Amino acid sequence: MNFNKVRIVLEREFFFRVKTKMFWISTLLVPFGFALLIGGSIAIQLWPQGNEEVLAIIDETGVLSESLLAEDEARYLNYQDKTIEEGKQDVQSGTIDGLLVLPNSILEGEGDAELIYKGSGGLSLLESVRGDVRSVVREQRLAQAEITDEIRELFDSRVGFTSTKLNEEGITEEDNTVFYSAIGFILGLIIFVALTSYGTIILKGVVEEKTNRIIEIIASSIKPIELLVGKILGISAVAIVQFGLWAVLFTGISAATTPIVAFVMAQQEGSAEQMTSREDVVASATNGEEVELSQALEAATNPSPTTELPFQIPEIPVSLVLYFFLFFILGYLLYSSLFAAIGSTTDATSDSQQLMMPVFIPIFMAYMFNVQIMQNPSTTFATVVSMIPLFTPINMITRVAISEVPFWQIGVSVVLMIGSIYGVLLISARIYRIGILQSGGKVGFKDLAKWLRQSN
Amino acid sequence: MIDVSHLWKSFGKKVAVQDASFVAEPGRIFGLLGPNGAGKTTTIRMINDILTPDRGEVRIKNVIAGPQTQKWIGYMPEERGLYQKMKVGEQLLYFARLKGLSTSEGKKVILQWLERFEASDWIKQEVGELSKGMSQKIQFIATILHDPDIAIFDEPFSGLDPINSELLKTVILELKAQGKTILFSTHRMEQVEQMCDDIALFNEGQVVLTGNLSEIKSSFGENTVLLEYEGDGAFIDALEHVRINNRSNRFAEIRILEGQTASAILKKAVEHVDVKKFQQVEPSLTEIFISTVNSTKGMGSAA
Repeated sequence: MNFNKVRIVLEREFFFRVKTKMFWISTLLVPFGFALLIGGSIAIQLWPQGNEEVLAIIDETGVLSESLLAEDEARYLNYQDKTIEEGKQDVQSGTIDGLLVLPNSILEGEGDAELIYKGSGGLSLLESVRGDVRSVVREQRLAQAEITDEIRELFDSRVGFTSTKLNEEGITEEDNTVFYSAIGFILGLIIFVALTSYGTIILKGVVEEKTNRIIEIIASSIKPIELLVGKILGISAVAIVQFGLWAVLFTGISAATTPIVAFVMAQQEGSAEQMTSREDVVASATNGEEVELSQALEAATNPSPTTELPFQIPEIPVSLVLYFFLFFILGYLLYSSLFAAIGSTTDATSDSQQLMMPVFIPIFMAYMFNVQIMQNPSTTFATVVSMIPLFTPINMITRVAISEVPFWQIGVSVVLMIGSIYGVLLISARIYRIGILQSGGKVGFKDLAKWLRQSN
Repeated sequence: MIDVSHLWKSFGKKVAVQDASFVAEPGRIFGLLGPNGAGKTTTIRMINDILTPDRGEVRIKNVIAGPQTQKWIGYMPEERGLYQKMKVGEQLLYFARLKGLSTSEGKKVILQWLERFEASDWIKQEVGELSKGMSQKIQFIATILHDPDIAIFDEPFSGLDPINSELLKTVILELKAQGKTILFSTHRMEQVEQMCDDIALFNEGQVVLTGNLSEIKSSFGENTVLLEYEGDGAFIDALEHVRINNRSNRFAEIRILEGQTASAILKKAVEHVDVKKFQQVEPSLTEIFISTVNSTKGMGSAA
């Protein structure tokens, strides 16, 4: 192989793509889109929720309205001396947003509280009113039933649960399994998307050279393997630059937006805290797993200086970033030569669908395995699957992110991948060098097998 | 110089080229002739080291075809194409560099050629924006910009507009004058007659005839009659021991076979039509091709 020629091809593939507007548009838009998505969902979470509606209470029991008013002064209004009809008129005229009628029977656990309103406020209003009513009624009934303070305390008490990781030096550290599981899955997902999209770029490039009949001119100047390697490396350089820019942009954006998020969250602290303390009683009672979530939420609302995020993002270790790039590049090299070989067998992108299936299947399988691996990253299944070269790039990075993967497993998987990249490249090159000169007629798997044996 | 000796190539069970040999000399134009599927393109691809022969060898300037000889050749394939989204200048530079030119050398010759073809304004345009004729010019430039000693054109005139056809002819003759070795393939005989010094006739993968064109023609003798006439040419069809190659309602090219003479044909012609022109000439290439193919077939069946 003449590496000077490989370099010329590499440069063309790289600069041609990096010079396009599409490259810059997608490079710039993806992180902003991502930031908007994350920022948007945080904003939605934190936005004042339906607190503006004013509800009037007609309390037949005479004991509940007071506790409701104590619960949320801004929302509730006492209509004790008005009739239901008058209240309805006020709802109609818009002086109040709704009328909450609490019948006497509610304290016996029979009647229903009724909210008469025009429908504004939506689900969140209904839910919070229901929560308010439920808790004051419960309080009242507990009081009436003359339950001792001890038992009430039992009801109010929460089950604490923390997990601590013991690292190799025997030092305990805070466990961020939930966070790292998410990171692991996201990293696997990014590699999944990257493999399919950069693989498709390779395939399209090869098909373009065939359909535009450029290939014969190139083949009269360099060897097919030089073209193939140059192309794969050129597009991998594009990928590295793009990911690098994304990393920089993303860091920049999050640095720039942190104070804003922090400020917004600080504003919300009070109400958020109220909400969680109400909810977590229910959460701990119903589902053990949710305990962790409510704890995280509580941690999120701990008071702190306004210039910092009121919660801590667990650190992403540098080694994880390096592993991400390693497995991404290895996976890309493995799959791109397969995509190139497939591209060389067809004249049009649409024809390659049938042949592309066998390459897409392992990528999709790895993605599906990841759902399992994310929950149990250390099972035999996870270990074996993550060391199969076709699955390694997606499954191993997820395992590395979530759990302590023994170094020998990473080592073996890397060696296996390099070996199979070499093997696949040889096979692909054989198909490629014959495929690129073939024109017309559909190529099936039988033909491919024949080409492997055929000399150039 | 291109020296092709005993070249064989098969794809699966199909033998594309069988024992092909010929030599193309510098300063001359060599034509590969034959119908589609006769093995011309496969041979050209082996000369370009795009395909490897099963047996036999190709020598370029006495070096066996390989990466080194590729630099000496400028090749314009029959199926021509360029990157649609790439700018003219960048694209030409890419091809130049692949052929071993440095970036600065490449830029220099590209400017010269674009100027020569009055195409300097296109340098920053994408190929996709050019007209068909314009991109054909870019294709010529891509073929010869590295100043190759050997220029190979596969069916160069197919799909060219008349202006570009003339331009290409001029370029080819210029290259010849510079002492380059030129080889082109075509299935259109009249182009060969006009331009070629030497030929190789391909049929079903074999070289059935090769050598100096005028020597080949004279070796066949003046066994052909060109007849121009007015009137009812039905008598021509009634002639025996002839082969009629080219026929219209006022013209016929008649090959005289054994048992027939030119004077007998002239007599018949005078009887039936008003003879405008009667000329005894060397056979056309079409005629040479047909008779050669027929005689090799006869040899084949005799053996």
